Amino acid sequence: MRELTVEILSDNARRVLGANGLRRLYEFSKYRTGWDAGQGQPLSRGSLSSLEWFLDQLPELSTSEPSLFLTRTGNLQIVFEDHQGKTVEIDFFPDRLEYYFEDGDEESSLPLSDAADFIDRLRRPIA
Amino acid sequence: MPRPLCPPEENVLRALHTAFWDKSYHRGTSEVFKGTNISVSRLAILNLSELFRIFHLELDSPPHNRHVVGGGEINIGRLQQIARDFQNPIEITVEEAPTEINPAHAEIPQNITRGLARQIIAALIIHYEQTEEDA
Repeated sequence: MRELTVEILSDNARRVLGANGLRRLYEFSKYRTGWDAGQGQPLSRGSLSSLEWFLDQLPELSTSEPSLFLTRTGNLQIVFEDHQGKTVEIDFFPDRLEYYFEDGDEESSLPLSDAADFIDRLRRPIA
Repeated sequence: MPRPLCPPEENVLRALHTAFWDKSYHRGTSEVFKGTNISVSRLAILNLSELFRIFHLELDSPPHNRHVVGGGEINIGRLQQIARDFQNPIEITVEEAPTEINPAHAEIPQNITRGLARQIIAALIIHYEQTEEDA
């Protein structure tokens, strides 16, 4: 993915990611196939779209100051702590989310089209 | 032929890649330790600065991109105890796996789940490399 600029993201997405997240996103956009000693795939544009859609639904997440990461599969991931200080990880695939809640060691996935309840679940402890 | 096991008294270092570690929030992703055949380096063989030099050689994309932000250190015995105490306990081994470029290289062959990876990350001692930006 070349010539990524933060202007392509919505206001909500930019606000949640913050300057640190946007700087990291720009850096990830420059990674080529084979980063991380040959194992990494370049940033998926579909993953970026999923992330943007998700952050648009959950602008409250900005208060948790999530960190942005790039997985070896080329998907973006955010990590933050819930109201109990427990870690939440969400991976953004082009068509689905994979998530992990440290509270209860819960790991699962769901299609983006079914994410409304999941977003409500996240909204409660953040608010 | 089975590879020699590293003793529990030793400490190992895991390279921290920018993609997997957010220095600004001192926060990492489970990708740091998740999966099989996780590479670590033995601090009994090479010191921190020697290992950082190797990590940069293996993981950076010169000339512009410096991807290694630091290293996470953990004692092997502590690592094994965390895995035993986890709700789905496993026995972890650290096996010697020296390479031409890294004589201290070792591997953890077992599959480390996301949840266990998070517990290990929480126990890491983080070493940030001093850069010109920090000075």
